[in-house]
Amino acid sequence: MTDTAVVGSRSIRELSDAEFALRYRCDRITAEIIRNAMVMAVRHMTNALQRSSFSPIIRDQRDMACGIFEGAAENVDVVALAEGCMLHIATAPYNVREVVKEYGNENLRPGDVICCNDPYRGGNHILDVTLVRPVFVNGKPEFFTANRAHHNDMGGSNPGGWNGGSVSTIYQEGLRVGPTLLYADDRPVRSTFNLFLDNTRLPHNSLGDLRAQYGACVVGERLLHGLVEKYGLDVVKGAVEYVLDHGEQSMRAAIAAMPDGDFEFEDYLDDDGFETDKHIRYRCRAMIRGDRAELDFSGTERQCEGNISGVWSINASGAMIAFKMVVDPWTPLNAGAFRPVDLVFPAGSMTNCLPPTSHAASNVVSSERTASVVYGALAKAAPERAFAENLSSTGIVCWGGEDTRSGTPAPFVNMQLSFGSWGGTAASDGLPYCLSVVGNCSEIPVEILEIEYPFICLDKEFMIDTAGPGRFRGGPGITYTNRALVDCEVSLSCDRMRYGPWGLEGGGASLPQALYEIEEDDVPYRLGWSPVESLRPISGRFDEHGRADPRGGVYKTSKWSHRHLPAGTTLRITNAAGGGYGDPREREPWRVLEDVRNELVSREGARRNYGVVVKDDAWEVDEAATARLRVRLANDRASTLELDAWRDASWFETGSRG
Amino acid sequence: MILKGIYYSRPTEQYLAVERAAVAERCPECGGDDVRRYPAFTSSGPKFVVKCQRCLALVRQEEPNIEEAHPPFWPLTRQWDCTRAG
Repeated sequence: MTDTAVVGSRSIRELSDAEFALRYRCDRITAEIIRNAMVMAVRHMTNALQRSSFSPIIRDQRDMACGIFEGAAENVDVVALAEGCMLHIATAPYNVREVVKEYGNENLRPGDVICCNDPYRGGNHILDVTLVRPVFVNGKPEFFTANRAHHNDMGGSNPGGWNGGSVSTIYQEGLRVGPTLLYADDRPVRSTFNLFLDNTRLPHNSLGDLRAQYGACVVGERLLHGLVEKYGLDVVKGAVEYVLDHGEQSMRAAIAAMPDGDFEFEDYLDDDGFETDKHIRYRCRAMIRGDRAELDFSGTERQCEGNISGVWSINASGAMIAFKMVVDPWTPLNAGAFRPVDLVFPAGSMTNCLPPTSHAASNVVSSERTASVVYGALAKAAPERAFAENLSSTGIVCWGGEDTRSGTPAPFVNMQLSFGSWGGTAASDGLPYCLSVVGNCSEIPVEILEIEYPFICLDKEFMIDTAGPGRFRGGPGITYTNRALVDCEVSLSCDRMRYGPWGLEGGGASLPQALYEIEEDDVPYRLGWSPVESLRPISGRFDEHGRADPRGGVYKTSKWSHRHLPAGTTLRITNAAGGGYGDPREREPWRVLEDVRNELVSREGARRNYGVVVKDDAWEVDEAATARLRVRLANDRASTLELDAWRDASWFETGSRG
Repeated sequence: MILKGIYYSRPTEQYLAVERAAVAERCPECGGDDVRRYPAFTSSGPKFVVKCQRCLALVRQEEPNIEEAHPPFWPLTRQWDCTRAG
């Protein structure tokens, strides 16, 4: 336990047993048992939802989260959360509170479930549907069980709702539903179900998923009733107060350990898909005072034309995820942890867009950059806790169409999440093969992908020489190559294709992402690369020869939709690696040797970026040559760290570029 | 064009900032005189906060309102009584 800070006059740890019992109406052991029981209840909800949902995006990708809430109307607080998609987890408190407030406690009955997918009511985007169930005790709604899950389609003009570069208002995105009764007295409300099912391309999936979400709420309710039966309502409520105080005290202690001051950082999105020659600025000032903090995003650019501006709640989610991850990563998240931190988002900016602005892709774009500027600002306050930038773009390649493989044509939508890597830290290399920090979803296994959808996966592997160099390097970039077996309508919602994730404390940036089409059938794949001659650039930065060029070239937008791809088309996306932390010339040579052996860094890359010479004829560091090279590089600190962004056919034959 | 709570045009300013209006009060904790009122998103959701700018102590919290468009969206039916179906 880390509850050493002071809330009011006394910390939890300082309370005597008698004082604790007086304050929380139970003893410490019971309070901890109830706290853990609630987290386990949420895990049961999560398992129930995952196992009973129909769509791979929930079942396999886990683009969902569950939670237990307590209180009434304006005071609804999240008490317990568990593993799931971080964006859902951190937005849930706002969304559930808005739903309960608008529907009204007094209008709820046992067996009811309210649904809502409105981003402007504390949500994410219309594809994320929230279900909220009151848990009645002695005739009063004392708790709520809730979950949020991504539905693969909510209507709109483009399959999957990722309308990059083509829509500007929420009206064009698809179905938007405010707080609405979905189950009454545990019976499905037909009109509400029809509202959803009549407006999606995937009604059978949505029906199964809504029922699974309902089931997860019921699982949580049963477990809560069990707790109340065992300990009594008063004790459970007392334990809830303890849980929230514990979360608050832990966060306050962590903030108090940061230095006081104002710390600023700015970063950019590539573009919005409309004005493709213009990047978009985000700015954050992190104010730390004692055990309080405020994050002010004044100076951020106005909302854009495209669908990447974020509503306040999605950006609150991105900001809080980043803040908690840097400042207090260990304590379970609940409403208490949010109490010491206020967020300031200028209305009409990218961080607090105004209705009716479209924002379906803000989940994977705006929230990412909001998190980026928080990481960057906090890195100035406490570089030892910071980490270089993660891939910071949950690139979405969304494929939709008609699956004709079985002879019975059926509509499909596949939202392919693209995994990359995280940045290096003061203590370790960046984690490889993750979704971005704000995402935290899983990936659909290739075998499932090929069963569920009309694709085959030709290649998926780490890319050599892509990680941001550093004393602790970033995790490597990852490439995916998928071929469509039927005609498709495809969209791309991505970022970090103009600028790669940044390094920290002298570490280098990693390569930006890129998307290509491969027109030939027989293309070599090796260590994540294919010959540049066989790639047709679609999105990213490229020179006049079509070669990726992270330092110049012409930028082709990373946000587009309504692109028709005939059966047989192959797309290859190269996902960003993590930035490096610290001067790479200080990286221990044995680590570089390991990277060379693991084919994450080439011998040439080891020399150029790390000043480490690996012998050509042995898996050994040439220590004398390394010492000489590092002296030379140390005298040339201005030399830039540089990653090769392409390989030509000769590299596949000789190991070096022609 | 603005229909408060429902429809807003895209702002014309390139970069936006939250205005922190000075309040003629002193901070109850540190005694500082730089106390300001501004919209914020707190753990309780959208609120107006009156806070000391020196120590960030919260002097008081005020409820959001449609006139100041905080939060931006307010449903037209917000003052209706609910039926059983919502």
